Amino acid sequence: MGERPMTNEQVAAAVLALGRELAYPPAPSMRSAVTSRLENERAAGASD
Amino acid sequence: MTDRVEGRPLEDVELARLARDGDVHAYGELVERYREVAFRTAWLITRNSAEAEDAAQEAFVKAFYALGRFRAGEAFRPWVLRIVSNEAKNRRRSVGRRERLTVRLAQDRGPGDAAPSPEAAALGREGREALLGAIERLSEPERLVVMYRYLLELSEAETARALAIRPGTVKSRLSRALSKLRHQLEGSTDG
Repeated sequence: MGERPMTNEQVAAAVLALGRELAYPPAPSMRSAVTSRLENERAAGASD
Repeated sequence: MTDRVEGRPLEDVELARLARDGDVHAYGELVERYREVAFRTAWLITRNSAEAEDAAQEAFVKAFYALGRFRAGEAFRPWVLRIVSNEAKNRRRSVGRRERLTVRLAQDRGPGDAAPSPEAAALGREGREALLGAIERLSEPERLVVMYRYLLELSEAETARALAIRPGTVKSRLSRALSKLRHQLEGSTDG
């Protein structure tokens, strides 16, 4: 990072930039799994 | 459809109110909106894709049943992320293989992805790897506050809410964490 000492603000900017470069695994779809489970639990509760 | 009014998407608070009244479809819209940040939060904690998916899904189910405690005017994102992180922490101990925190290679970037910022480019690949390593060595409270504030880009107020700490504690913890990262980075470039 050059010879001058970094500041905390520069480190913060670097971490923020790093966050945009991270190789996250792809986020799976969850909507149908969550809503199906809630509907099933509601149906099971109604039949109790 | 309950997720739009006169062509505009419903606000989170409206969807949460509908969901609290039993509208599972409205809740599905909230899940869709926040699944990515929820999954990333869980993954940063568990560092395992399968566990992160399970943790995020379970957290969304628990959040649905907890909607009675969601206050009007409160932001949904940090509220649900707090539930996600608690679920992920509970599962972390049972995780077998932990996936590494790495940066994307240039060839993995899609056409819509932004080029590295000047700050990222200035660090270079080795510098970025050193910074990732330094983040990994922070204590958990410091790592979490850095993760929420900078990696997931929550505001300070959202970070405070998601971690259930005061905004002043977010500031002091961030300052301490950044100083440690700075010292580690300077140390890594001295030799």
